[in-house]
Amino acid sequence: MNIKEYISSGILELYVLGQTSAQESQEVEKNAGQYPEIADELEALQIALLSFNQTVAKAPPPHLEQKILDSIKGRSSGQTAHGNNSSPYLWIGLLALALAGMGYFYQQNQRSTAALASLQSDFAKLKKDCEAVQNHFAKQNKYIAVVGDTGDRAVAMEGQETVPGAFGVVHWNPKKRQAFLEIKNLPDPPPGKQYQLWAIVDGQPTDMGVFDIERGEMVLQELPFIAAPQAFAVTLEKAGGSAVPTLDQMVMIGNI
Amino acid sequence: MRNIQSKISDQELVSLLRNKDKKGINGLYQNHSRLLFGVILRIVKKQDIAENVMQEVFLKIWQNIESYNPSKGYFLAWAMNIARNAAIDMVRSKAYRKEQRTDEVVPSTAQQFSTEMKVGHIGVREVVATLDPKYKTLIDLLYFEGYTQVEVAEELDIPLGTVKSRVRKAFSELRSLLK
Repeated sequence: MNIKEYISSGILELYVLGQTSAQESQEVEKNAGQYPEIADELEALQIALLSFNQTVAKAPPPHLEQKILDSIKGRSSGQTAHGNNSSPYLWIGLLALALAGMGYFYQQNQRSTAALASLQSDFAKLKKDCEAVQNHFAKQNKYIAVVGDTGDRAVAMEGQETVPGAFGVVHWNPKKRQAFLEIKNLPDPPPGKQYQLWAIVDGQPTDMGVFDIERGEMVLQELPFIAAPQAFAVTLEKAGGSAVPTLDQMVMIGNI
Repeated sequence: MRNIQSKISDQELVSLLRNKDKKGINGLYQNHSRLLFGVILRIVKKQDIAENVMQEVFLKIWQNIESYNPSKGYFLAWAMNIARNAAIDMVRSKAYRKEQRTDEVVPSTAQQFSTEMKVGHIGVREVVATLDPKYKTLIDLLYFEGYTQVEVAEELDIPLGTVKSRVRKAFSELRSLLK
């Protein structure tokens, strides 16, 4: 649409003077809504006519205002019933709504709290599991590092008749000058007793210390390193260990 | 009272009316009753009839405020249009015409003009008074007397096609005077 042409057509002036048909008026309003230039022109024309009308402006008689207000009050009573006239039912309704809302949020809060507690417990459990897995892998890595080392010499100690099925391994590594003890299927010692490890060097038993049994897979207990042993042996001794091995209490022995 | 009260804007007025708040009617009355009543009186020419039409107009504005929107321009222009149409309808009614025949002579525009001079808007009035009479007559006939363009062409003895262009000319004159 050519806006300039439309503006200069005179249709807006006729609209302002109330000389347009309903259809024409609608079209003018549509165009004014769409094109700011047309809206501006329309408003300028309205101001001109309002100014023109100032020549006939006249104060109405003083009583008219009240009369007008009364007539509107009379006519609009139906409309204000659900407007300004606040009924008690409205307030009761609002109160009920507010209470229901509070109840709802309380319940929601309770649910959230319970859900949070459950999640916290799940999290704690997972954290514990995760730590266990980490420990397991750390232990495994350490075990592999020991038993997989090229310098490792595993000295198997076979269980005697008193502890059938039991055996032990001393991982003796002269390269790294390290030694570890691995025990399998050895029953717990009787009360007041402890197992003690010996190394046989030059035919003589050398004390390697008492140990407690740690259950589980790939459990290694670090031992003092000893050079050139011929054999390793475990005896059952009094708690704290003995200076010399009690030979009739030998539970396992293995030669290098 | 009126002078010490701060006037509310037409925008506030519209939103009050939309909310069915009667303060909107008070505001409309405070701000625009002189203009609306003056136009109604100019058209119907009788005080008591003008008062009835004025009442009707306020009620229409109150009831139909939803149909006002900014694409119709100024709110006052919209309200004025309602007033003008209601007044013209009144003039065209049978009851009005019947009464006219037996009634007193109506006050002329000139008389109203002189009484109003004392009250206000003198600046605008004086400016509008300098408008070329042929344009002033044209607007008077179309707007206040409710003439159609055809009737105006006959009355002024000008071609119908000229009415539209003269209306445009009248407005451009008026606007340049008001600048």
